[in-house]
Amino acid sequence: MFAIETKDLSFAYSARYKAVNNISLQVPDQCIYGFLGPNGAGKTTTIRLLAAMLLSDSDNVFIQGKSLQKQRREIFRSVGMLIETPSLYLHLSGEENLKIITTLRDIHPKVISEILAQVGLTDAAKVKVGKYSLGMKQRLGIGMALLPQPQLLVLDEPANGLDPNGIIEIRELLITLNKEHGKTVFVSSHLLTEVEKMCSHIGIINKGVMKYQGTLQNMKETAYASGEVLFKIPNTSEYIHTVQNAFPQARQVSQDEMLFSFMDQQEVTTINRTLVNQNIPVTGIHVRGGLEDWFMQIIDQNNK
Amino acid sequence: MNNYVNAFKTEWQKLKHSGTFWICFGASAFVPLIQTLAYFFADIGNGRQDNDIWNSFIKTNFTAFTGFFFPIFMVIIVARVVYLEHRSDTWKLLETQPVPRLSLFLGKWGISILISLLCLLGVLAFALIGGFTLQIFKSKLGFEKSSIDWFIVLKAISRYWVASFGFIAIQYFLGLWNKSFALPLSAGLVATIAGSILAGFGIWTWWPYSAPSYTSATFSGSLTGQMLMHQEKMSILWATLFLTAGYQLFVRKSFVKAAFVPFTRLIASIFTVLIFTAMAYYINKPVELKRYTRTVVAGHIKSEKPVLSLVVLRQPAFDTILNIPVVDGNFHGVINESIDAGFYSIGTSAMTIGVFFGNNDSTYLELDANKLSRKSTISGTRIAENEYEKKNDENFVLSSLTNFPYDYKPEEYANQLLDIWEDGLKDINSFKTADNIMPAQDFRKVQEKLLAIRLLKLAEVTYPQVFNLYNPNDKYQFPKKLDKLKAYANINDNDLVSYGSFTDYMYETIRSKSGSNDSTYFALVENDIKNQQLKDVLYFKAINGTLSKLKDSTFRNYYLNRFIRYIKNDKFKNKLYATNNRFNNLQRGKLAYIFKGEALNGAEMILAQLANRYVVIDVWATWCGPCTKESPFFEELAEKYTSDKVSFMALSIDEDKKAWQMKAPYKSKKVIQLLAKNEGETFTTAYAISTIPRFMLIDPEGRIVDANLPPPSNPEFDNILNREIPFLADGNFSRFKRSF
Repeated sequence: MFAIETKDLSFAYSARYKAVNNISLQVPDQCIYGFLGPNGAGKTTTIRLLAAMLLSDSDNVFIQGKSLQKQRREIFRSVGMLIETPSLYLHLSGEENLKIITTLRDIHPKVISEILAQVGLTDAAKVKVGKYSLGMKQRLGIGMALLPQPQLLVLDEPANGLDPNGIIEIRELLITLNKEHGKTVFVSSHLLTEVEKMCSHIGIINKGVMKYQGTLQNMKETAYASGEVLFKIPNTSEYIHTVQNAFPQARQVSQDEMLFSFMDQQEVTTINRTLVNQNIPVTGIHVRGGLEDWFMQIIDQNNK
Repeated sequence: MNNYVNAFKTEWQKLKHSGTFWICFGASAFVPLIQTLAYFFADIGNGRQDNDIWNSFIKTNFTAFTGFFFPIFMVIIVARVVYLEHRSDTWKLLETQPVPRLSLFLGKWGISILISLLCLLGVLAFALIGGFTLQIFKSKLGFEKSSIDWFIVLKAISRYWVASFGFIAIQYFLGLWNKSFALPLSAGLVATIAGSILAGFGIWTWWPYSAPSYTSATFSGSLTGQMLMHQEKMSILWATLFLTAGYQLFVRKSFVKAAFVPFTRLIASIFTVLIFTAMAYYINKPVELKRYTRTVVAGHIKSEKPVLSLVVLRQPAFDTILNIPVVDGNFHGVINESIDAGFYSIGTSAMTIGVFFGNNDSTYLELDANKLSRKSTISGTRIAENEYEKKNDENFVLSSLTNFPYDYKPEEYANQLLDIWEDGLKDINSFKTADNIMPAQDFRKVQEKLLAIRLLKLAEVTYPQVFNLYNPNDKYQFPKKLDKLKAYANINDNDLVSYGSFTDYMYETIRSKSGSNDSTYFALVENDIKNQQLKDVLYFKAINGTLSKLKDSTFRNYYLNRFIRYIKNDKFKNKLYATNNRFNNLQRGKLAYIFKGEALNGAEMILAQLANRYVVIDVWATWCGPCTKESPFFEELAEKYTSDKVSFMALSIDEDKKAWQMKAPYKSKKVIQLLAKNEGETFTTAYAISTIPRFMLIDPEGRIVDANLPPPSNPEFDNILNREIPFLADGNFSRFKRSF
């Protein structure tokens, strides 16, 4: 059973353009799932669909095995959500905002102070939220999602507006929740590095289409699987034939650049050692590819 | 249910620090504050003590508040309550909680109508504070002596509350539809302003924003005893429709998805709108009340003097059809004979009112005959008919056509009459009471006929007279386009006999054929008219008119004996005999009726005290305009002629003694100022006084010289005095005596 599963989920705001197109999310239980995509990729639309704030035309969203269309209320009993900017009543204090959740959910208000401590807002508990900084609002929003102690947390860009320290704190909090309390966390982000640092699973979306879905490990393997390495060699043409005997894939790209494609990073070492052994003057090595490049390549595919 | 309670509680928590309760407090304090100041400084209610000042003060507060401020206030509140969620899209927060959407949706609705109730109760509270303040600091307004009718006040408050549901639901819907603050707010403001204008004209009574105005119009509740009236029922219907629509919008997030897509939803929407329209039609459709099984006149009368019985009199002859005993102010009488629907006089010497009813009508009267608080309420099966009579919207054009016919060309005059006729038909048939009751068919038919008769009289009598005067060579043609009115004026129409305007019209129509010749007139009536009652009225009118013109008693007696046998109704006969007797008694040489009066110092004075001198009498009243014009001429002669043998007297027939006491002392000291004791109209009857001013001359032996002198502004008045009173100009009566 997946914590979140969608089957060919689609949604269009207007007839011409599908904001989300046949997305099949599969978020395993007890993982931290990074939902990655550039701005406007359809992340928030997807999350709104998960929150039933946008309605899918068919019964194709399942959370913890329950149909969102049919069992909305039961699902939300064990799900905490933060969607886009945090939803806060600006004229109330942080404490009063949390009080609204406890009243609606019939939770004992004593948890409020624990949550405030957890998100580091104890000192600002009585201050009106309208006076909070962006980061404080973000933390309160996360606190509101955490308050019912949900099994599944859905957070839309939780690092938005936080300073580096804040980002680290949130990251550590989420990791703790996952590791120690066994909670499933679904985080959307447009920052690869952020996701890479905490997620066990990754989904990549661009222009409403799911580009990749799998574990972080898998992704790294895929990303690094097909790399290219550029060797800077003055007067490349002198050596190209020699090199091509050993590495048929070698190509001369300019007067002093030679490009090798490889399937395994180990190959870079081998190529380098071979060139050095043959006294070919290497002045620079530049490995292209890796996660970042791979990611950029994936999300730009449609453009090229 | 628990979910709803929680949703409602959170709404309450959210309103903290939002200033809503302060707005509520200010809004409900505003009107009572202004009213209290107005009562305090502007002396409202001064001079005339209001026996019911507590109730009228509370009613004034609510009327002033609810017509405009209340809807505006609720529009603002609802906009705030909804915008609270739009501001930083906290809908996201609410919707991701395990709470049914219906609870969330109704939570906001609940808090909105709770504020509406708080606000109304606030007005009551501040009105009470204001009233008690006035009671302490402005005791002459009479708050101590009156009390609050809590049943009516609380019922009115709950009705105002229900009346607010409709527009609150609409504002809620608008707020959900449009996420801005300003747009639903300004739409609400415009709708409220439109509502108060519409209510002013009394049109579009279903418009939800004017519902409180209509509740104000019936503050003391329905005359038919319903808890809610059409505007409140309509408000509930509006609320149901817009809450349903609002909830669909809330769940589906888009108007199109809420109403039109998919096809089944479109069908459901159409169906809902159809049901709404049908119910709205049913609620707004005026009701005609059903007749009862018997003809009953019942009710309650309050009076300073004990009332033992009431009489029901039939017009035009005022025959008594029922005498109802009154026990402890309550009365209940059943009329067993079959009676025509029409106006009947019901009352006692203390108070008489005209009431429309007919066969199998149940009439309930609430009469207050106390001088200060005199009022009457008619309910029962003819509510609308009696309400219709009360409305007094005189048509401006019609009065211009009546008073200034020479301003119009014939064509123009006819067109104006036709316009009035068409508008009048619409008015008659669209009239309904605040209770949404319309007059029964028989009454509407009669009103149409009366209008036709009124217009025909203008076209057939008033205008031709003027036309012939200005165009002696042309012949006036009755306009063809008005021919259709003639169908409404049938001389043998039994329904109209009790209406003076009909009998007057018939009288004049027949007179225009007969001229002043009574024999011809009587023959025409005898031949053309079948209804004996109508015949009697027409005979009576003719005889009564001629009697007042005949000065010679022998000839008058002869005339009366010759024509009175035509009349069947004894009441009419007796009236004519009585009139003739009075005229006879006012003949020269008859002993004058010895009236009593009260002098300015409070002493009683009788006519006999002025024996041995001529008495010139001016009968007047403070409210009579022409009297005031004549009195300077009268006083001038009094200054000139008053002596030990001639007295001038101004005899007031005012009922309001205070008014007389205010005015009489400032009149000429030569004139004896007296207030006539006219209980039961004994004085005015004895002297056949139907109009004032009236001038009379009585001789030293208490005999009548002339009971109807020309007015003193006419030189003939002075001439008569000089002719009748010897040596008047000398001012010395003794010389006259010696000369005999």
